[in-house]
Amino acid sequence: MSGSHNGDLPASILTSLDVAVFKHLGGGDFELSGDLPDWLADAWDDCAANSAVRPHERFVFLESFLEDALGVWSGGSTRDWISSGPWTEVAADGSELTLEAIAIAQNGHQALMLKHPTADYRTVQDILQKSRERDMAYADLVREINKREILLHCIIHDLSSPLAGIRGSLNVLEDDKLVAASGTRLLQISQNQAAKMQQLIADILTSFRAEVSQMVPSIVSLDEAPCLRIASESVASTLRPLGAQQNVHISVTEDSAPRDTARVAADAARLERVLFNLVDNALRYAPAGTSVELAVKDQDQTVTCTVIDSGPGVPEDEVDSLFERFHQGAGKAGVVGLGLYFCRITAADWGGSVSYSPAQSGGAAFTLELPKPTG
Amino acid sequence: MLGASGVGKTSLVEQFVRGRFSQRYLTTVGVRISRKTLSDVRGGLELILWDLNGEDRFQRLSPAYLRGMAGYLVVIDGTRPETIATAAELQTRTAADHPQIPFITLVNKKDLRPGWSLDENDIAQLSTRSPHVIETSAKTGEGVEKAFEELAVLALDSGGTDE
Repeated sequence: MSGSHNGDLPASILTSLDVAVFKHLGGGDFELSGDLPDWLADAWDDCAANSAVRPHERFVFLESFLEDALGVWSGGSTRDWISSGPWTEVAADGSELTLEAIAIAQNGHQALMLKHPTADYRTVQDILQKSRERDMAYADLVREINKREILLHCIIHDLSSPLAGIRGSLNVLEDDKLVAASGTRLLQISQNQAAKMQQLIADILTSFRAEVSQMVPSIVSLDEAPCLRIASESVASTLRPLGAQQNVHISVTEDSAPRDTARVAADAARLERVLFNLVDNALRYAPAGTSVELAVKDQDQTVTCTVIDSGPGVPEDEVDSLFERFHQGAGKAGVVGLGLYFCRITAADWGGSVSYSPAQSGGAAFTLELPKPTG
Repeated sequence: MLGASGVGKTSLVEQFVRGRFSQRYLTTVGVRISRKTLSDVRGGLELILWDLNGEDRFQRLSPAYLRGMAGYLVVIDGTRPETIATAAELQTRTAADHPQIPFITLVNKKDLRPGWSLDENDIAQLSTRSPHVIETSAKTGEGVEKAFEELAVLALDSGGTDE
């Protein structure tokens, strides 16, 4: 491209415009007209007036922009000027310089201007900032509602499982005629009441919807930190009758460390729900005549409870999705698939984890690991 | 750095270049250009990082910003599944013009992973589209250095820019 001249504007005019103007000499070569504005001189100390410069070597952003600018200067564009839009150079110390480049071709003159973005830039940035913040706040709200819905599903899951067991047992009593004629009426009443209870659960969940948010998550003081051993024994005790129905024995084994050292950073009620879900899950897969073991171990910084069953274990292709929402194990299509998900998100809230590994016996081993309380 | 607005592109760069994180969201207009020297990678190299404005209903990505790039990161917010679609569209458009340029997909905000809305299917679908998926946290720094360094190596192995 041939060299050109931009006409000689007095330096004072360029200074008052607070812009840097470069005459395009061809290719990537330019010549500074007048002086650099102070705001740019600080960032470009080796750019001198009336000397050849290559702005794209100082501002790498211009490498791309000059391709478009050459189109304007060569007459290949329908426009006689083009703006780069704003860009920001971030220095090594984190300081920022926001610039805008404009390439102009008029009356045979070709020039590149570097300037502060116009006041419109700040306006646009403010509008974008507020608009995006509103969008993200709305998205946060939707997510929060979704989270509460998940918690509701968890509650349904927790309440429905034992109730389904009760109704199933009542049906067995009826189908196998295990109740004497004199008790038939009472059996029907029990069945009706269990059915009503299921409806009641749904109604209660609706009315308590607003209170669900209070369930997540709570800070636990050292004095209130529950003992994982005691919680394990409590859950084992609760589920032993159900295990007995399936001819599955539930046991708790402990290491020899003192009980006080098995305290964990959790709240007692939800800790038992997590353990309940893990043992309930094990009972679904444990064959009759086997046992489910809760092995509590006091580690250095954490306490673990591993729930081990002698079932088939988790198929390899299901392991990765085991703790995801609505995961249903093979052959368990009737299960909602929120129990293990609840365990995972709850343990994570406390800074702990739930993990799966194949048990040495060939079954499944789910380990709840929670940090000890601090302070 | 490509992705929907608010996925953490600027925060990832800030964490990588300066090792700092700000909770405050500050929208990017246009481009932010930063530099970082990786002295331990292939005898040392300087990365010039173009942190582009997020794409959403307010702003579109200018294809001119992609000229001369050696590699790109496509960023997804793990807490917002809708950012997957934006990332996929951006990646498709970018690959159409720059088919040989390597890229890595980042699933950011790993520090909020318990609250992620992505499920395993989403991650699996990402893996089918992107040969490299890394989970990152601009807040804790987890995965950040790995992401940029792996991209740098991919870019070197692929022969540099497409210009």
